[in-house]
Amino acid sequence: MNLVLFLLSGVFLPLFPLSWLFNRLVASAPGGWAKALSILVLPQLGVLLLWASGPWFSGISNPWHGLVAALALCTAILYAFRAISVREITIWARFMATSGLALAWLQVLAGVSVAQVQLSLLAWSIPGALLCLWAGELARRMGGAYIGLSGGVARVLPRLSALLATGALAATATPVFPGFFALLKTMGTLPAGWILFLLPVLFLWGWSIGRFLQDLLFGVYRGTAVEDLGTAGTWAGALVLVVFAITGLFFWGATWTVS
Amino acid sequence: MDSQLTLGDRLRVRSMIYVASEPIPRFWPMRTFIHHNPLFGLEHLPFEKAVGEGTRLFHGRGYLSRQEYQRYRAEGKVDDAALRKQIGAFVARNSGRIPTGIDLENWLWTLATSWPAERLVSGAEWLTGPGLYAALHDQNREEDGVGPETVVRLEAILKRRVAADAPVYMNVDRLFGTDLGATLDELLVKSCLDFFDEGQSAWQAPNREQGFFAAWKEVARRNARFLLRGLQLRQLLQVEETPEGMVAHILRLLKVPESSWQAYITRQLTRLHGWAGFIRYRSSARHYYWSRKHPADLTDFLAVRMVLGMALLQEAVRHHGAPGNAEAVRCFVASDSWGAYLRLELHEGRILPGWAHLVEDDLARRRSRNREDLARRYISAKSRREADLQAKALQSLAGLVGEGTVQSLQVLSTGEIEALLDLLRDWEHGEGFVWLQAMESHYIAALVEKIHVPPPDPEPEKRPFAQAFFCIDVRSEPMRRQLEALGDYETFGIAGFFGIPIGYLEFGKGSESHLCPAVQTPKNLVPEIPADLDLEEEPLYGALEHILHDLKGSILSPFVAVEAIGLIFSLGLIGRTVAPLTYYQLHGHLEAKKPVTRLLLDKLSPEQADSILRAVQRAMIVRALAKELRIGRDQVTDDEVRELREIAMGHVQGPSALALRLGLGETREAGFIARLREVYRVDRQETGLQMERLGRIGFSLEEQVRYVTQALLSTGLNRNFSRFVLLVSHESQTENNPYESALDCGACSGGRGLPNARALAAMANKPEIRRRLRENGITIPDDTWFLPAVHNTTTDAVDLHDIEMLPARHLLYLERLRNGLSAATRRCAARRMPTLGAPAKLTEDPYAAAVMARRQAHDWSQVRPEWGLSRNLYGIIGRRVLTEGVDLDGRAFLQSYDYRLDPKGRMLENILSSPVVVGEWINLEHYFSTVDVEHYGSGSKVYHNVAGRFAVMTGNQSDLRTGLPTQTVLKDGRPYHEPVRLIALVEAPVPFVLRAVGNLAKVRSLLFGGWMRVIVLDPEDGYRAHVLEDGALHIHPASGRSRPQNSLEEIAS
Amino acid sequence: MNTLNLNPLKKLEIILEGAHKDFATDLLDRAGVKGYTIVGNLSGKGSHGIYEGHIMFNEDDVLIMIIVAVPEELVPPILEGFTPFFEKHTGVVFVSDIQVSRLVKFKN
Repeated sequence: MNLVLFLLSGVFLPLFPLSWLFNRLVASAPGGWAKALSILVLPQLGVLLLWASGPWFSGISNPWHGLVAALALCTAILYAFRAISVREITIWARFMATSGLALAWLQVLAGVSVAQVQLSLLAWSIPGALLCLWAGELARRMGGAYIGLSGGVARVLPRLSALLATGALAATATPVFPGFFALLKTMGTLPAGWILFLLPVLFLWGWSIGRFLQDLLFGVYRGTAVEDLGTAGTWAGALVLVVFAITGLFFWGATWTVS
Repeated sequence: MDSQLTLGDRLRVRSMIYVASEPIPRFWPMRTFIHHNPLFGLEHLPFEKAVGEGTRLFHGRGYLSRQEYQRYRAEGKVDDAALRKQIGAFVARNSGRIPTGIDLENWLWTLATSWPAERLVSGAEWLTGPGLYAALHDQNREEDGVGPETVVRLEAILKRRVAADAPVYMNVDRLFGTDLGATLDELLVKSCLDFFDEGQSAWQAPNREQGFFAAWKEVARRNARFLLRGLQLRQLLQVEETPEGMVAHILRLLKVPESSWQAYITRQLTRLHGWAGFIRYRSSARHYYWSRKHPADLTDFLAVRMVLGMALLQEAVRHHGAPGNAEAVRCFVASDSWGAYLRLELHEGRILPGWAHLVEDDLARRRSRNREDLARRYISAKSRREADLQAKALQSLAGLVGEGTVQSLQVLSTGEIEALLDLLRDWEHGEGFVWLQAMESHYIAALVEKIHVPPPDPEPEKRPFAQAFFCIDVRSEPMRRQLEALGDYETFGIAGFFGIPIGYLEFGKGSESHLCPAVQTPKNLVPEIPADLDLEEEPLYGALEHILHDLKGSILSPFVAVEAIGLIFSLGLIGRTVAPLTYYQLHGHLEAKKPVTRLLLDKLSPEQADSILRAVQRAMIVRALAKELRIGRDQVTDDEVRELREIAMGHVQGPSALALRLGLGETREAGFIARLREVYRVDRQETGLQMERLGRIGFSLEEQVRYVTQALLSTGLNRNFSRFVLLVSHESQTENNPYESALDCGACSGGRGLPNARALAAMANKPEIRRRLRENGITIPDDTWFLPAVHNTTTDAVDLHDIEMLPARHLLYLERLRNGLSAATRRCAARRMPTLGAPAKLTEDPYAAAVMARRQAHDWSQVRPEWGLSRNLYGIIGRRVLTEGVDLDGRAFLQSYDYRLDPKGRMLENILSSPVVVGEWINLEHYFSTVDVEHYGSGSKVYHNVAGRFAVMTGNQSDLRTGLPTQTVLKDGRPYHEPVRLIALVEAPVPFVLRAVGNLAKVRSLLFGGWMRVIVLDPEDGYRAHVLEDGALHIHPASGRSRPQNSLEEIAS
Repeated sequence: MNTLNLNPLKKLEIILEGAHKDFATDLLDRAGVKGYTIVGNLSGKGSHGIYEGHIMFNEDDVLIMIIVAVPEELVPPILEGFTPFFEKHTGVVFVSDIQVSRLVKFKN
């Protein structure tokens, strides 16, 4: 096994402590589109590097495997926890994506095929990327994508807020969206005792999405007038989300329930 | 243990609390909703100043937004000439400051009438002349935020935003983003709900007789909820016993300088002004039952608040490292000004969004080397942004003003730009008041034009078919108009209590209700006696009802009764919602019919009082025998009862014949006598008090003559009486409405005026009274009959009462009277229902409209059963001939008054000091609830929950909501009531009016302080209208014109 | 005839608007005075203008005077207690020396 390639893959497919580098890379990307692209592409790169680094692991019995699995769970819990206190949407999306992507390691350790892992990575990357895009739109209108300052953004920017809210729900594995099924699949690969450690992740995600929606949707808006997202942008965004959900429902969901 | 606090300190704190509480308006329990001016405590100031002070204390806005006024202007409700005049006056006042080349008048006109936003000049903190100049000229400003003047400005900003006299917890909230304020309010409201509950909750708080603070202390020591929040109250509570001692102690702990104590206390009290207003009312209401039982005053309230605040603050000190007292806050801010400023920006939500995360990260570090640099950069960005926004706004406005104005803006120097900005800011500060005056000017002109000047030679008076006295309430105006148009009816306006203040004891109710304006206390008691008086039986159906409803209140009953009788309740639920009219018709059959009653109006002679008392005492003894000793009525003789009474009074000693006959032991008998004395109040002292109370019953003959004379003379009816003289009181009928008293008669303190009407009618029908009146010059013909009636303002129906007392020959005309009244009812309903959401074509169908009106009265889901007093505008004091046939659209209080019958002016003084003041209260209540429904009004009814049976809160718990709800004053988010001060018109000579006003200090300060507007229509000066404006009377240009009399036919068709 | 035994006390005459009568009497009660006398319907002139003195439609707009005799040690606390009130309202307090014969009515 090539250690260098393995470590590199830990950067792109975030695993603590190398996940810090992943976050730095994404944060340094200029603008919403660049950030979105990096969230989509880098994990794929990470999986390919991992595949190139040596034979796939199978089973958690090997102590090294156990260590990696534990690190993956820790990464997920840590970033979910950090996401709760963050109010800037781009950063929130980044942390939530990291948290979800780390769970892919568990699938890798369970011997799932590369193609499957790549697809389930998309389940986390796509919502993260979309959120970065829309956060950029919000920042352009309000000066920053910081929610919770005065609240009530939903009243003045209903379409954009709807997209942001739905995207955030997708990022936290709400059913219908593929993240939910990917999570179920991950749970399926774990031995029974380990599922207990996956539950804090779910709990923290739930708390996080609750705070996010509260800060985004409620309150009284007290600022200058802003223009909402145009119809074209709204339709495009809605279409992507719908396709995302349908794909998840029919392909992932169906295959998972059948298998 | 009261540590180091002298008696003087404690008295001083009490005094400060009293002074601080004065601006807070009293809040009456909603059972007797009194419309009052929310700024009643500030009425000694002129209107404009008081509104500003109200904004400072209660955070409520005093005027509508500019867009709303522009909309009114588009609807033609604003007098442009008046607006221009005010702008001209402003320009003239500030002529020395106007920069050259700026046509300020044009600028202000455009700003007021065409600028689409609320504010042009924002409350920017860093905006400077040079910065604005640079933004206007698109110059680069890199030096902002770097120089020493930044530090100076920063100090000033910090001093303002972290105010020295603001409560410490508020400053901590601002600096650390904690929500101590909200938590404190929540805990305090919960404590208040527990203590002040008036029987709504099933489990009641203990020890409430000891007073609010004492009872609360006991519970707080062991309160699990407080412990869960980490509050440690035990040590704090041990230090002081008295509430004022506790307040002083905590103020010392917080290191608030003594000179600031008064301001500090005021701010704490005005925070929850609903609860504070209620406690203020309660502690001064001597006859309020709950206040005697569970005493509480504002000092207790403040003490509880400060203890909770201190505990929360101590917890924040432990948790967040926040400063724990005022001095520590000052040191904290002084030691790290940059950090403090960034904190304020972040936690108050005013930060530029793009910087939020950076600032948050930096503040999270304990020590940051780059903080000053970050702050300076932020300030530079912020000032640039503020300058850009302001420059854009100014240029946009200049573009609206006209061509060439933008250039004139660009050529201004830095100093001149600052001057312009200051002028605009000053103008905007007073713009609301200017708009208000312009709207009033329009309505004053409209009224002066509409008023009929009476012809110099009046036609000979024909005898009308019926005359009717209505309350001055605005809802009577449409009814009066319709009735007059239908036939020979003559109507008069009189205050709803008909000038007779009575304490009314309704049959079946145990307590006395005051039917008179809230400022008076009635001295006479009037009980209602049923024709067949039986002190011992209870109607069967009434008992069933009582049992049914009582079950709902018990804790265990849901488990027991739900299977058995739950279905019965569901019938009610479904019936009431789906088919309210049918349900109530059926339910009406179940209820016992109210028996025929009379009012006891004449004073009792001592013998009569004595025999009544004996009868009541006998009945009490019989009941006691049944209850205590299980001896039935048939087993006792009257003599035995009499003997027991004598023993209880102490006149006679020894075992009674009854005891001997039935073999009761001595102790048992003694115990029975003791219970008779204590519980059933059959003893000598009580008898004395009861005789005194009985002495209050009724009116003497002189008093009755006086009241009838006053009622007739003050309204101008002293001759040409018709066959029927109706005395129409009014009430409303609604279901499930905590505000139902608000819709009832304000002159009767939120009750119904029917007892007063019945009383006046009974007095005026007495031959003895009529004889005395004839001696005094008022001749009432023999075939005139005074008849009481009730106008139901929700359904517009007028029901006659006491018909069984009508003489026979009047019965022949009763049908015609009834027909007239019901026709008027239907036509009123037809005009009114479309305003409540019915389709406009209902105006053509009076019968359907009347049915809809009845449904409104019975529908428990209806949040707007009627509009009530919304849209009130005018108060007209004069003869009906001025307004006969004029369509005032239900917006005028009409008080009949004939100055020729009032040579000394005493009646005018009465009218000015009572109904006019009540009218002003109603008007200002509606005004402030309309302009700021969240702070002065009570928000949407949909979220209201009844608190303790005396008030409403929004949501689960909140401050008590004062004022009127949105459904009463707004329609579809826009104001339905037009917020304008009351415009009163008085028909009397000017010197006469001025003399009357001069005798009344309160009315004089209201008029000259601008709390209402006044027009004097001088009959001895050709009926010219003199308008009071800016402290002097001016003749209105449109006055003295007479209008043709064809409007009556228009209405009748 | 027995010679009367006279004891020195201080008399406070507090003139204020009738609307605040309850507040003033409450404060005096809490200070521990044993009784007071209230004189109503006063007229006069002050820095706020002239008071007419006849009864308005309510009893609040008139001036009243509360006369109370207290031992010397109660005078400073009472004056201190009324200070915040008189900073915002019309009225005065006069303190004078008097002598009373039945001390038990005024002092514990």
